[in-house]
Amino acid sequence: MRTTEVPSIPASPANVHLVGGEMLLWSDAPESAQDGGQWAALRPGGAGGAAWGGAGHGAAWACGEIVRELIRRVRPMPGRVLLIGPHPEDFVDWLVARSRSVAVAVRSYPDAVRLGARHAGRAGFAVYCGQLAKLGGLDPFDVVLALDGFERVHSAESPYRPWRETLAEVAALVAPGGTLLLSTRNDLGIESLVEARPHERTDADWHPRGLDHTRPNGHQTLAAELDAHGLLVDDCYAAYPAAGAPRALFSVETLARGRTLPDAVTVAACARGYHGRAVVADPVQLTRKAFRHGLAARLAPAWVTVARKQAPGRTGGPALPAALLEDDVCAPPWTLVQELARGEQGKWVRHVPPASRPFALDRVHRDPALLSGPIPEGRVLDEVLLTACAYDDIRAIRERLRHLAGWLSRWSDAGMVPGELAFATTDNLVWDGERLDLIDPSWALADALPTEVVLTRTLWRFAVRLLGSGHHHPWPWSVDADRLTATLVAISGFRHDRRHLERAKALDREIGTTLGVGATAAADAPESYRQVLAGRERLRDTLTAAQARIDRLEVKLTHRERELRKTRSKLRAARRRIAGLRRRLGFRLMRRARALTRPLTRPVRRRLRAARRIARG
Amino acid sequence: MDESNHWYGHSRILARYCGLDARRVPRIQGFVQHGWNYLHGFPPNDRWASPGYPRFVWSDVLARRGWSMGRRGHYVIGSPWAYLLAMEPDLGRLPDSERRGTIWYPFHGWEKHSVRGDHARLVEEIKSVEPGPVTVCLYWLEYRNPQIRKWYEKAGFRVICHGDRGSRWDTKGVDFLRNQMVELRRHRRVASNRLGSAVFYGASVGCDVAVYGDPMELEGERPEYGGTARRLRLWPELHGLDVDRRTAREIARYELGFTHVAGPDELRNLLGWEKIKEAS
Repeated sequence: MRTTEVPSIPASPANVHLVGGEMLLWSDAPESAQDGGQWAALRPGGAGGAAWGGAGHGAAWACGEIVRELIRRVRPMPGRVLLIGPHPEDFVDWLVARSRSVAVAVRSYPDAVRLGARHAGRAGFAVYCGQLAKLGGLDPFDVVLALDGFERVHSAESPYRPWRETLAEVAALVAPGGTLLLSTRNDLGIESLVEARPHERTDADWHPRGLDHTRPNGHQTLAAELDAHGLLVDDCYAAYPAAGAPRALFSVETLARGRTLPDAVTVAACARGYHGRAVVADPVQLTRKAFRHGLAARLAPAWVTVARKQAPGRTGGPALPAALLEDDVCAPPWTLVQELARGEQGKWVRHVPPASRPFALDRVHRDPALLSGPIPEGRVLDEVLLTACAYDDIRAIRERLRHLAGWLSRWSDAGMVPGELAFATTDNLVWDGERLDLIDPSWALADALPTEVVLTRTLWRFAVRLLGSGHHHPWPWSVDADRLTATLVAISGFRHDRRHLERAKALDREIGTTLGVGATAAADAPESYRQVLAGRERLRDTLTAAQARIDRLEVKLTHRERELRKTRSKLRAARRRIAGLRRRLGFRLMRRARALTRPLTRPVRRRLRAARRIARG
Repeated sequence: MDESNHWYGHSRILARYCGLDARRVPRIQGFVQHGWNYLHGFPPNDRWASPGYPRFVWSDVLARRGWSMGRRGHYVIGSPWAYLLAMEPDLGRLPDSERRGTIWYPFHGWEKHSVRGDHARLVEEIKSVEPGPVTVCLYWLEYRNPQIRKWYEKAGFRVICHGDRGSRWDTKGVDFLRNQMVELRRHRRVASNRLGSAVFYGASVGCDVAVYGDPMELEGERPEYGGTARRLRLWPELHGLDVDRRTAREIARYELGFTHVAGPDELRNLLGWEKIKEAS
C-alpha cells in the first residue's frame, strides 16, 4: 500500500484550534526549532523537490531582554494576552509564566502543533491557527503583541491584505483600555537602505514586499493610523540596529528633542558585522550619521509602538523609559538591560534594573552596579581609528595607539594588568581628546594578564573589524588580520611576538565562549561592485548558452513532431488503402483459394523447412 | 510539454479559443493545471513540471500556495472551462423550468490510484436525499467496471460517462468538457461526495450544489492536502445537502478563475503559439 510510504500530518493537540486557512507545510520557526524526521519529508525539497523554505523562514523576531523589559513596564500584570504572528518559543514560555491566559495566533500548522504540545495541559493557553480574519469571533484581549509586525500573519490562503486592513483586524482584538505593542518595519530604514538585494523574493514572499502604500511612512503616520483605529500612542520607539532583533530602543520623542546622545550609546545601536549579508554601505557608519544628523527616528529599521485602546474614564498611560539598551557582546544569562535618563546638569546617566546581581562564570565576572552612573563622553576609539585609516593618517593612528598602550601600561604592575582591562577593546573605549574611558566597566577577568597579550588582543580585534568591513586603510590590500596586528603592535611601541598573538586569540576564544557569543572570526570583506559585475557577466554567458541549446532542441522537437504527424497520416492512409483492397473480390478469392490449398501444400512446406535446417547445420 | 495539458480536451479548447485548428493542437509551452485541487494546482510530486516553463493555474490562491511551497513561474489564466463557457454561452442551455433532477459525481480514482469506499452505502444515501431523477456520472475507469456500474444501475439511476481523459494524439476526450456542460445544463442540481471540479463547473452554470456522503479515500492520498477536514475548514459553506446557490456560484467563479480569462492573442503568446497559423 502506498499509504504506508507516505508520512502523515500529525494530529493537532487539544489546545490548538484550526480556524481555517492554516498552512500545512509551512513553518515560520527557525530551522533549529522545526521538526525534522518524517514530516520534513513532506516538504518540497524534503522529498527531493523544489527548495523548501529560504530566507523567509526562521528569521524570528528576537524578543530579547529589552522587549521583555518594555512589556514589564507597560503591563506589570498582563492578564489576557494575544500574541499575533511567530515569536520565539522561549518568549512564549516567558509570557505564559507571567500571564493569566495566553493565546497565540499563527498561520503555520507545524508551528501551532509544536506550541500546543509544548504547553499541553496548561490552563489558559490556546493556539489559533489559520487566517487572521477568522479570529473575529474571539473576545478582545487586555494585551495584544504583534512584535513580528504584520508581514507574517496572513496565510497563503488569504487574498492580499494591505497593512491598514491588517491593523483594523488587529485593533478589533484589543479590549477597551487594553494595550497593543506593535513592531512596524520601516521601508526606508537603515536596514533597507544598505541591503544590496532588496528585491530577493523568498518562499515567504508570495506577495512582493515594500509596495504596500498603506504602510506608515514615519512614526507620525503610524501614530495617526493607530489613532484612526481608536488606539492612543503612549510612546513610540526607534528600534536599532535591526528590525528583527532590536537591542536599542530610543523614544522618538527623546530623539526629536535634539538631546544629543553620547557616542557610547549610539554605538550600541549599530549593527556589528554583516552577518553574511550583501550590503551597499557600512550600516555602522550610516547609523552613526543618522544619529548625528537628527534622523535616527526617521531612519530606524523599525518602530515599536505602545498604544492603548481608548476607554471611557481611563486616562494616563504607564511611565515609559526614554531609552533602553541591551548588551550585544554577550548572550543570556549575561545580558543586561540599561535604562537611559537625563541626570543632573543634563548629562546622560544609565541605570540597571535593581534586581540585577553580580554574575560569574569560569574566569569572567560581571558586576551590573558598575554600569550605573554617568555615561562617559567622547568618541568611540574604534571610530577614531577607522577615521584615521580612511584619511591614511598614520600619525593620528600612531598617537592613538601609543596613547592606548601607555594607558594600559599605567595600570601595569610587573608587566601584568588587572583582569578588568581584558575588556578594554577599541569598541569598548571612548576617547574625549585627552583620556580614554571604558564604556562598559562591569566586566572583569579573575586573573591579571600580561600587558602585551591584552594589547595584542585589542589590536587583533580591531584588525579583524577593519578588514571585514571593507573600509579603506593605509596598508597593502593583501594584508591579513595577523600581519596587520603585528604592524599595529609595532606602531603602538611594543615588540610583536607571535606567542602573544596566539595567547591573545586563545583569550578571545575563552571570553567569547564564556559569554556565549563565540570567538571573533576573521571575515572576508563584502563583495565589491566589480566582483558582482564579473559574476553577472559569467551568468549571462551561461544563460545565453543554455538558451541557445533550448532553442535548438525546440526546433528539433517541432521538426520531429511534424514528421510524426506526417508518418501518422501516411499510416492512416495506408491502413485505409489496405482495408479497401481487402474488400475487393479478387483479394477475397485469392485468400479463399490460399486457405483451401494450404492443407495440400503443408507436407511440401514442412520438408522444405527441414531441408533449410539441415543446410544451416 | 506534458501529456496532462491535453487531458479532457483542455488544449483543444484553448486552441479553438485562440483561433487555431483544434484537430491539430500544438504543444503548449508550459503546464496547464488539469483539475481543481487545493494544493497548488498540481500534484505533490510535480518534478516533471520543469522550472523555466510557466505553470498555468486557474486561480491566484494556487499561485500563492505554490510560491510558499517553493514553486515559481505561476501564471493565472483561469480554467479551460471558463474559456469553453466564453465560447459556448448557450451550449446545451435549457430553460430553468426544463432542468430536471440531479447529476451526481462520486469521487473518482485515476489510473494509478483507485478509491476505497462503500458504493452501496453511497447509493442508499443518494436515494434518501435526492427527490428527483438521478444521473450518476462515473469516471471512465469506474464506468468500465461493470461491478461499480451495477451498484448505481440497480438503484434505478441513469449512469453516464463524459468520456475518456484523452491525449494529444487521439480523438478521445476531445468533447469531454462539452459533454459535461450539456449534461450539467440539463440538471437542476449537481452533487458529489467531495468538492471537486465538477461541483464548481455545475455551480458556474446555474446548478444548485450539494456535497455530502462518504468522501471516500484515495489510495495513497498525500497528506499535504490535509484531507476532508481541511476542505471543511476552507469551504464550510459548500458542504451540506443544500448550499446557498449565490455563494456557490461566487466561489466557483473564483476557483475557476473567471476573472483571469486572457484574450486570444494574449493566450497565444502565453502558450507559445504566436507563430502557429490561425485556422481558416
